[in-house]
Amino acid sequence: MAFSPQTNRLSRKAAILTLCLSLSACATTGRDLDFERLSSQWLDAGSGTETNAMGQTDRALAPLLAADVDNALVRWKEVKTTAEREQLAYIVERKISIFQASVALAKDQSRLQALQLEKRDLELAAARLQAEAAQREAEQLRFQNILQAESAERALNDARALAQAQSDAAEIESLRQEQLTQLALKEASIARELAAAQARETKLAQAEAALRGDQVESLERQVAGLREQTTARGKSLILGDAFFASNQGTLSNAGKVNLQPAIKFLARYPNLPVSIEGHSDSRGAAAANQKISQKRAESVRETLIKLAVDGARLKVVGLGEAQPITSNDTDSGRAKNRRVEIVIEGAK
Amino acid sequence: MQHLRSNLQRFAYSWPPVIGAILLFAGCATAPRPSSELAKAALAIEQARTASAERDAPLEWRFALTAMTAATEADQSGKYDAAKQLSERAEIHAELARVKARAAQARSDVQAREAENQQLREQVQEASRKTR
Repeated sequence: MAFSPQTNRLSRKAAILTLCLSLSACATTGRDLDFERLSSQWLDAGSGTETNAMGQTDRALAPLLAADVDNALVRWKEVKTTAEREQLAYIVERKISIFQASVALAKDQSRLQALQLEKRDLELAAARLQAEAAQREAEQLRFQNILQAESAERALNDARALAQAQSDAAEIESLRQEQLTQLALKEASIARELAAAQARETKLAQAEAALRGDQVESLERQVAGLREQTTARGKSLILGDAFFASNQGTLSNAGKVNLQPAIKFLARYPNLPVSIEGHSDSRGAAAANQKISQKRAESVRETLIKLAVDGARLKVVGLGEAQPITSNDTDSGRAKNRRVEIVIEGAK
Repeated sequence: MQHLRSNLQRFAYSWPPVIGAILLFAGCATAPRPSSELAKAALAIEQARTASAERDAPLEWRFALTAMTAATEADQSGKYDAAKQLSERAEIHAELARVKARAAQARSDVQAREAENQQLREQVQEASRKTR
């Protein structure tokens, strides 16, 4: 049985009511108070009903009850006995109550559904707001991070610049120190070199002095030891290596000064011819040796002429390494071989 | 059935007093035993119990139980008319108790949910106020 909308039901209810009332009016028993009360209750219950506001679950219950009550009211007059009529009135009254309760239930159920929807919307809105807040917070955080990163970078750059400046200064300082050190080192080394040079000079001077002293000494000794030698050719006087500038063909100053014995020697034999013979050691080329021996001999002759010896009787010869008087294997031997002999031929 | 069979047995042996008895009790035997009504009432009470009617619709629940007890007593003492009437009342009271209990539950659900939603709404408003 299809249930008609509220307006239809109300009009039908009204029709039933008028029918019942007319029936009861016709009845000989007079007014039925139970019926009137119930009809009125049912009309009130129906007038407050909004079937389209009912929930899904109990939508079926209220209409069935309504049909039940409708039928009971329609069949009211068929019930004859008082007991049965009382029972029916009792039942119908409860059914009207059940109907009212079920309508309230249905309303609350649909209200619940609406509230459920509202709750979902609210939760959605809350979630959206929360998400927005979270997003904003994240953005803020990001912004703060950017600021922090920037300031950190600035600080880093500053620190770097500072460190650079400091290290530059330190570098310059260290460079300066290094230069100073090098300068000091150089100074020290120069001083050392100077000292060494001075020491060398001193040593050299000493050595020179010693050498000069030696030479002078040896010359004096030689002069002192200048002795005439008697050979098969006559008498000869040997001027040692010390009379000459070393490795040169000239007489040394000391040699020139010490030629007095030679002059005396010549003076003793004024009429005899004199041969001034130069000798050398065996080192070097023979030609060079001959040349230097010749020059030394010539040097002696020239010096003797300057000292007022008659140059006519002085004959010069460079004999080189040909006539050594001792071995050329040792320094002293070679020194002895480097000599000039003044030979007076025929002297006895 | 047992009762009926013993009656038949008695009828077989001494039918004149049986006829007399039938005539005597005819007026009383017009109402049958209201087994179906009692069963329906018991079922309705069970459903009301399941719907927590005792807690949420105590007045109707007590009416239903009282009617049911009275109906059972009437049934046991052979007052079938009264038993039928009382069981019908017990059933309708139980049904009313069930629906009222459910309605009360729905009402309290609605109230709880409304309070919950109100709280949520305030939270959302608070949150959106903070947002601006």
